[in-house]
Amino acid sequence: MSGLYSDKVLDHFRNPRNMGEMEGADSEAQIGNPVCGDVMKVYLKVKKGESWEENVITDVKFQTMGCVAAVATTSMMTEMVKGKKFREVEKLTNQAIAEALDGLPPVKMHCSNLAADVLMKAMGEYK
Amino acid sequence: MKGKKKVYMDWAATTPIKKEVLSAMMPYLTSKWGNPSSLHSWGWEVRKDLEVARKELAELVGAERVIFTGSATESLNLVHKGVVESRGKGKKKVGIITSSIEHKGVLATCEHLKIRGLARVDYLGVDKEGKVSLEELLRKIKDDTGLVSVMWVNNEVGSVQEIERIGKELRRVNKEREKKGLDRILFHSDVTQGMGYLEFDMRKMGLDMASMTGHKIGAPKGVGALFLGEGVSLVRQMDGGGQEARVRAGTENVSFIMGLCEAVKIAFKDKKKKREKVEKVRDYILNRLSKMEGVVINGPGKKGAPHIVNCRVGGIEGEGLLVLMSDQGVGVSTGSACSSGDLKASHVMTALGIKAEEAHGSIRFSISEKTSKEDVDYVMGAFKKSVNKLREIRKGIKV
Ligand code: FES
Repeated sequence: MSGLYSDKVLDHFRNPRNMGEMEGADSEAQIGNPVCGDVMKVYLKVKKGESWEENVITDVKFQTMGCVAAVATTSMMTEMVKGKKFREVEKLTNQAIAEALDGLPPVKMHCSNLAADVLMKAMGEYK
Repeated sequence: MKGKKKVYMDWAATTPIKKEVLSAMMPYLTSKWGNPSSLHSWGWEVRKDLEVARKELAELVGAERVIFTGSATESLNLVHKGVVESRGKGKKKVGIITSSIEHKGVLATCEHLKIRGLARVDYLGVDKEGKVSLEELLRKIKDDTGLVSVMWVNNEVGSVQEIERIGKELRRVNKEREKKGLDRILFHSDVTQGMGYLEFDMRKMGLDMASMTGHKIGAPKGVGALFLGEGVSLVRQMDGGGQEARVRAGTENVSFIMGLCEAVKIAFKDKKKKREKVEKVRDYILNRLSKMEGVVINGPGKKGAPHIVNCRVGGIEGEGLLVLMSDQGVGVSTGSACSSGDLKASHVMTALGIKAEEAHGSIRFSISEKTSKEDVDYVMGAFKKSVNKLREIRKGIKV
C-alpha cells in the first residue's frame, strides 16, 4: 500500500505535525469513519473575533486512530488552518487537503473527508 | 559500512527462487528451448524431460496425473468450474460445499458459478481456531452435492484442517451413494500453504484433486499445479491445443514447470526436520507476543501450521503498522480493512468471529527455515516500537 502513497503523505505519516492532546482547548471534536472504523480528534485554540467568521484558529492539534492516509490528512489539515480565520477555513475541502499532499489513492479519498469534517465540527461547536 | 538490517517475515506471501531451482530451470531457458509439442529433436528432448518430471512429481505427491497451470488461482478456477461443467452439463445445478475461509480463488469462483445458476454453494463456518466441523460438512451433503472443497492450511491464520479425516468420511458416504445410484462426491483441497512443512500424500488423505502454486516454496511466480486422482474428469477452461492431456491448452511454460517440480522435491526432503526447526521459531514468536501488552493471538497458535502466526493489537491500524515496520526493514502483512482495497476486513478474520475493529490491528508473521531467533528478536523490537508510535498518535481517542 505504501508504494501507492506520495512522499508527502508518507512524510506526514512518519512525522505528524501538531500531533497530541491540547490542554485547555477552546473547542474539540471527535468523529468516526463509517467506512472502515477509524477515528479522528481535533483540538482548537481560538481568538474570538467580532463574528463567528472572524474567529481565528491560533493553535490546533490532532489525534488519529487510522490508516496512513488518515494520519497524513489530519496532520496536513492542521498545517493548512493554523493562524487562519474561520471564514477562510470554512472553505477548506477534502479535495484541497488531498491535493496539498500531492494526491491520495482513490480508495483513500474518504479518509480526507474525515479530516475536513472533524475540523468543521470543532469550529461549529465553538461558542 | 554495514547495511541496514532487513528481516522478511512474509514467507506465506511469496518466497525467493531457490538456487537449486534456478539451476534446474536454466537449461530450458537456454539450450533446451524447443516446443514440447514439436515433432522433431528440439521438441522431443524437451517433451521427454517434461514428462519425466511430471511423472516424478505425481509419484511424490500420490497423484494419478499432474496438470501444470499458471498459478494456484488458475488451478482453483479449473477445478471448480471444470467439475461443475462436467457434472452439471449445463442442465442441472451442482452442489458445492466449501469453507468460509478459503482463498479468494475459491470463493470468487464459487460466486461466479452461483450467479450464473450453475452451482448451489454451501459455506462451512469455522470455530475460533479456524477449523471446520466434520459434522457440519456431513450434514450439508445433499443428493446434488458434487464437490467438497476445503483448504488444507489457511494462509492468514495457519489453521490446519483434518483433510484425511474428511477424506475417509467422504469415501464412506460415496459407498452409500453408489448403492443409491448417486454421483460420487469429489474432494478437493487448496494445499498451497501446507506443501512446505506438512506431510502430503493425496491418496492417503483421500483427495481427488489438489491445487498449489510454486512461488510459496522457492519456485518462480507464474506456475501452478493441479493434482488429479483416479477417475476425475474436468471440462477444461482454457481452450486451444491439446496440451496437458487436453485439460489446459497453451504451450507449456517448461522452465517454470521444471522449477516447480524441483521446488517440491526439495520441500519434501527432510520435511520433518525442517518442520521441527520452524515450529521452534514459531513458538518463540508466540512466546514473545504473549508478553506484549494488548496483543491477542488470532487463530490456532501452537496448534496451527509451523510457519504462520497471526495476532492483533487493540486500537491500532495495520496499514500504518506495516509502513513503520517496513521503515525498520521488516516485512509482514495485515488483515486490516484500510489496507484491503475494498475497505472490508479480511473474510478470514470475520469468519473466525473477530470484529472489524479488532481485525484492524491484525498482523501476520510468516517464517521459513531461514528465520532465526535473532531475526525474531529484531522483528519484535520493531513491532513494539511501531505499536508505541501509533499508540502515541491515537492517545486521547476513546471509542
Ligand atoms: S481511515 Fe481506513 S482507509 Fe483510511
